Parts: sequence; C-alpha cells; structure tokens
Amino acid sequence: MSAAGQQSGKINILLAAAFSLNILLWLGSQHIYAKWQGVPPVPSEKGALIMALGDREFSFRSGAITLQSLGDEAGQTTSLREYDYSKLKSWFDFLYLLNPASDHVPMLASYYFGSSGVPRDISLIVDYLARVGESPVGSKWRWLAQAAFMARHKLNDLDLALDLSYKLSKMEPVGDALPDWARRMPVFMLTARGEKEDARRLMEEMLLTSESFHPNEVNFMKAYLVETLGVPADEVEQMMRMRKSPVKEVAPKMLPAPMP
Amino acid sequence: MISGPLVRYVLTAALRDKLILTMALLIALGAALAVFLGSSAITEKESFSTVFGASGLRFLGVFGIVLFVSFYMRRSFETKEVEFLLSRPLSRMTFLFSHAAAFMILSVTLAGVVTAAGFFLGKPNLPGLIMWGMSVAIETMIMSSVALFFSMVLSSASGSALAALGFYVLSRIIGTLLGIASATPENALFAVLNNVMQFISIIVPRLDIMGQTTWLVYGVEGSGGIGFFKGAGAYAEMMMQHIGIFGFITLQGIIFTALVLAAAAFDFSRREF
Repeated sequence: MSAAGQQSGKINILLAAAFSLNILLWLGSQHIYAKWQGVPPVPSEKGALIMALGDREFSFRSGAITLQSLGDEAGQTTSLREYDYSKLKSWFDFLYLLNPASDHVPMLASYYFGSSGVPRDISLIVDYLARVGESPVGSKWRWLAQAAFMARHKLNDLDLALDLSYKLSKMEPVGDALPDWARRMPVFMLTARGEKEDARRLMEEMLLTSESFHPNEVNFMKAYLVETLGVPADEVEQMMRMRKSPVKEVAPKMLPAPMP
Repeated sequence: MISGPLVRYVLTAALRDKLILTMALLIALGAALAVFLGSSAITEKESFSTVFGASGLRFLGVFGIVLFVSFYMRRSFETKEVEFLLSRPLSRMTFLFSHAAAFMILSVTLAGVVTAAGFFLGKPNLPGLIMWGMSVAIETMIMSSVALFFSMVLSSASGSALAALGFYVLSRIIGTLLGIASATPENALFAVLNNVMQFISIIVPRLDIMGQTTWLVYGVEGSGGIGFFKGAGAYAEMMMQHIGIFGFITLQGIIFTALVLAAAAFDFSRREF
C-alpha cells in the first residue's frame, strides 16, 4: 500500500473512532439536562443596566420573560412549592423599579405565582400587588382590587382585605374611572367579617348619595341589602325615595364583537 | 473634499461583499426570532416583540457596519488599494472623507431597514419609532466613523473590529458608569477611579441616551425623560432645556463624528507608505 493510502486509512480509522466515541457520549448525554438551581438572586439596577448595554426597557422585558419561564427550562416544570417566594418578591420589586407602567409582572404574580397554596407566599404576592395597585395611574387600581380579593379568599385575612378595599374605594385614578363595584368593596369585606351593620351603613350611604350608578347597579345594591344583609324590603324602598337624584334610565350598550 | 466616484466605489464594494443582502437576511431572521420570543409572553406580546427586536436589530446594525468597515479598510491597506488610489489625483483627506461619507450612507440605509423592521414587529408608538430610527441612524453613523478610525490606526482587522465593538459597549453603558462615579466614594481609591472614569467619558459618546426602546412602547413623552446626576451644574440643565433630547442626539452625532474623523485625519496625514 502506498504512503498516501496508509495515511488515508489512518484518517478513516481516526474518523470512525471519533464518531464511535461521540455516539458513546451521546448515549448518556441524550438523557440529561441542566438542573434548575432555584430562583436566581436579583441583580442590582446598575448591574442589570450594564448587562443590557444601558437599555432599560430591554432589561425589564428580558427580566420579565425570564421570570415567566423560570423553572420551566428544558421541557421540565417546577411546582410552585419549590419557588423561593421571598426571592420572587425581590424580582417583582426589581422589575417594578425598571418599568412601573407594564402590567406583565403584576399579571404573572397574580394569576400564576398567586396560585400557590402557601399563605406565607400569597402574603408576599398580596404585598406586591397592593404596592403596584396604589399607583393612581390608569387602571393600576385593579391590582389593588386583586390584592384585596386574594387577601379575602386566599389568605382569609379579613382585616388586611378590609384595609386594602378601603384604600381601593378612596382611589381617584388618573386617566381611568374607578367602577362602582370597586367603590363598594369595603361593604363586601365588612359583610364577610360579620359586621353587617357597618356594611349596611356603607351601602346605604352609597345608595343615598351616588348619582352615577347604573339602574342595574342600584338593583344589585337593593338586592344585596335585602338578601345578604337582611334589611327589610320596605326600608330599602323608603331609602330609595330619599335618594338625592332619581335613578336614570340608561340605554343598553351594544356589546362589543366577540374576540377570537 | 468628497469624491463622488470614490463614494460610489465603496458602495459598490459593499454590494459586492453582499453586506446589504446579508444584513437584510439577518434582520429578517432577528425580527422573526423577536416575534417568536415576544409571543411567548403571557401579556403585552407586541411590546415584548418590539423591544426584543429593536434592541437586537440595533446591535446587529452596528455590528454589521463595524465588521464591514474594519475588514474593508484593512483589506484595502493590505492589497495596496489605498496606495493605488492615493497615486491618483486624490488627496489623503478626500480619500478619508469620501470613505467616511460612503460608510455613513451605508449606516443610514441599515438604520432605515432596522427601523422598517421595527415598524412591523408589533404596534410601536409611531412618533417614538421615528425618533428612535433617527437616533439609531446617528448612532450607526458614529460607530462607522469609530470603526474607520480604529481600522486606520490599528494594523489588524479583527483588532480594529474588537476595539470598535468594545468602544460601543463602553458607550452604551457609560451612563451607568457615570452614575456610579457620581456617587460619594467610599475611600480614596474609589475617588481616584471615579475621576478617571469621568475623564475617560470625555471621549465616549452617550449612546445610552440614544435609541431608547422605551420610546417604542410608551412614546418619547411617556418615557422617563432626562435626569441629572448629583452635582450636575446649571450648565447641564440649561443645555438640555435649550436643545432637548433630539437636539442633544443630533449635536452629539455631529460633534463626535467630527472628533473621530479629525483624529483619523491626524493619523492618516502623518502615515508613511
């Protein structure tokens, strides 16, 4: 065999050996993945900005999407029990610092991380949502309503729920109108606490003084007074006659077209 | 000072090197990736796509122009193309400024394509997108001049590309570094380092203020605006009050490009072939 043929044979053997070794490695490596190390520590604001080449919005968006897929790498899913919620709370606060306008993180905290069954974890979410919801800008008030709802139904902390709903009812959002049900939230909380007299007084006060309620809202409030708070129907009717302004008939609004 | 045929010659070289085609393909790929990443968000999908796309494509545009300028210029030196061109009735300054003009035309074209891609990524705030596009065009022009400078003074193509990209990274984070430097130092060493950083920042453009992706989501008015570090004097406030953010960006583009080209001219006029 010529020298060129011998060299070619050696190269073929080397190639076959390298390929075989690669298959041996692959037999093991196809079944492994990098294990999740838990919620990572929160970077400093300056560190995050440097990592994103000074682009604040990119830093926020990449942090938010990382938070959304946290623990779900390599096709694996992680139980909410395995998340360190105090670190998650730090992430929420950090991302709120980068962008207080976005609703992505409050939504993630509320509807995904808020599904945890651990009260201590939920209380951290409620703290965060309450903080975001206290912003008077736009419709941020709805996160305060969500915090009150979670405090009431998930934490069963009626005192906290009442505090939050009082804050909510007093809000005057800029660029949005606080709906009537949000103004009435303390009534529901007082009822849940068994303080039906206080709930009744508050509901009656709203019914007597408000001028902007839709007739359906007024009917709901009347029914609530009678059926839930046990106020005699004739007393409610008498109160209706004392209203400062009559209930205006409002033409039914067209329903928007169904979204796909 | 600028030779039309030479500018066309460089633009033809860019077409020959398939710069525009390669960049258009990469921009399309980057935009598709941004839409994919953005669509995985549980809400505000369009904002995510816009921000990811705009940030990535902005970097891609700068990366492309820096690589092209660095490798084109070094190749021109190595193949004696520079010496050949200078043997024609063409002054050194005409050679330099014609190249700079051609690279600026390429920069504006790339920024235009990136901005057009940004328009289709989601639902960007339109005035914000226009402002962002103009700002990115200025930023890319600055970086093409910086790459030209480094490729004139350094003898290696990869060295000049790395130097220009390193300079770009520094320019993008200089605001954060100046913020750290403006804080009260913990000890004497930090005080010295703060002063060193502030001294270096004299020759670093504030690219962190340019092309802010927040403009694309919330508009220029809806973004945070301009803040002032502790110790900012009345001069800084008066300057920003008079020229505004876009005035600052334009002025910085003109002044910094002039500085870098003057430095390149200084070096080139003394070079011996």
